[in-house]
Amino acid sequence: MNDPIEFLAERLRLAEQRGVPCAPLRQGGGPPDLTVKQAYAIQERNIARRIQPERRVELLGRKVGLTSRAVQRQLGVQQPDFGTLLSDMEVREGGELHASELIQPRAEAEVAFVLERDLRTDRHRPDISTSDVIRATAYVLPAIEVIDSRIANWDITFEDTVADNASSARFVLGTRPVRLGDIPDLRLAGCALRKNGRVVSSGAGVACLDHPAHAVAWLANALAGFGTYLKEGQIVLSGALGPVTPLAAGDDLHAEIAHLGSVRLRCS
Amino acid sequence: MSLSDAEILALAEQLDAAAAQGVTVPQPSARLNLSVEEAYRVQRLSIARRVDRGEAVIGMKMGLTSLAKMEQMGVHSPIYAHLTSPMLLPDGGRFDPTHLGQPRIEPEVAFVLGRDLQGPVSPAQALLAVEGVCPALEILDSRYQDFRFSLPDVVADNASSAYFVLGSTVRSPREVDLGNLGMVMSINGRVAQIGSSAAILDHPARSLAALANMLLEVGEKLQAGMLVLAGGATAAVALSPGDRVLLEVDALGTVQVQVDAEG
Repeated sequence: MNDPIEFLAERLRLAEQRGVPCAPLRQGGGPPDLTVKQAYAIQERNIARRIQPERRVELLGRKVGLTSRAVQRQLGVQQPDFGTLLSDMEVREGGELHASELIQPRAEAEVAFVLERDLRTDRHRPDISTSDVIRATAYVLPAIEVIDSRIANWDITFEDTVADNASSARFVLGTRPVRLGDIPDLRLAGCALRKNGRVVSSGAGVACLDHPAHAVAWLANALAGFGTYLKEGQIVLSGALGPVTPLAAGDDLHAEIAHLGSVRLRCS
Repeated sequence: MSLSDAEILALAEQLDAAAAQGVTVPQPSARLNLSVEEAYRVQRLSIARRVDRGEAVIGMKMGLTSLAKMEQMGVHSPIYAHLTSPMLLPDGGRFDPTHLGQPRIEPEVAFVLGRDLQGPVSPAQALLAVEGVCPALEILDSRYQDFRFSLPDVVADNASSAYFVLGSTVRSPREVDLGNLGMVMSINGRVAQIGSSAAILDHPARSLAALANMLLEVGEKLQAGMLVLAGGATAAVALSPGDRVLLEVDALGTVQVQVDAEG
């Protein structure tokens, strides 16, 4: 194995393309000591291949994952991770997702931040704060993220999900923009995810790193370590506000976030 | 095969004594074929004993209002129980856990009724009878070991109720959208449960209407001034001596309670 990054990137790429899950990265010839840095390099390798402006596949933004303390505990980590959102991952509001395109999809409700200016660390501003995030946010939208592990049975470690683009697959954004200043307290904003009319998951803003804006600030600082930054116009999915729910053909999902509104996704 | 009046009364006396002494008793369903209707008769007789001792019925509570709890118990409807005067603690107050076997706490919202409410009603009609809404904490304690019970067992045991606390700020239900209020319960300053009022039968007003409609089956109604606990928004959390609990509810404010320390 000359290039473990390419070896594992190809494994994940083929799993996604074929819709057939693969073994965890440490198994099946992968390096047993895969580092977080290598895992992000695998993610970056596959994202670079997928971006093709001539075919209108472009980088739209980022997602923050593992923002719930409970999920962090399950994976034995104390930090979130991030993935990259591409234009071919977006499903139109009210549109339809084809379950057959995915392996083992799950859905969660999130707050999406849309930025009106760059969020970039520099010599004078080594740390992006939550108030920087609030100032740089044009508006927020309710969102549903569909996650899907390319690793069989979701048997993932932290490094596995990082390499696998933070298990991201699709997302749908609501269409009514709300200014952060118009929300009384995003930390206490309720969240209800209904599947086929029944509440299957509920939570509140506090579930996402105590406040969704904290997750965006974490991301802005984390990206500095990879030589990049959040840019004006980019979208950030800040992390789940409640437990994930499995998704199957025939499901009708409706996510409602108090003060933000709702967003719907049908799965065929 | 139904139970005799004497058997129902004996169960009521046994559960009433267990609650007063803070001890556990065997589940009635372990030896008797108790129906849900009979379990409610047991509950009413045990509450009547409290009233005979000078307690007043000041409200009702709903239980098993979340999809998860109903599925866990294999039922399709919630249950109700009675709230009596000594169960109400002041906001920021404390209680002595020594006579509780295994206390747990859960975040709720409570209604204060401005007028009588009689079924059959829709959730919207039920809300019209509500004068105020406030955050609430309910302290549960089962008279059965490890909270293990069948549906009739828990109904007979007044739905595991022990104490409840209401927040000091009361809002009008016309000012607040009650359907999706974020709820954060912290214990000793750490977040213990996060939820939404949407988990309470999809909307707390549905819980209130369901209560009025269940009471209609036995020819009863809710009376003006009564307090109604709409049901837990999250799973209950076990309490230890000395614990301080804070519930924050979006738009409704906060409510606090403390468990006395040992010794």
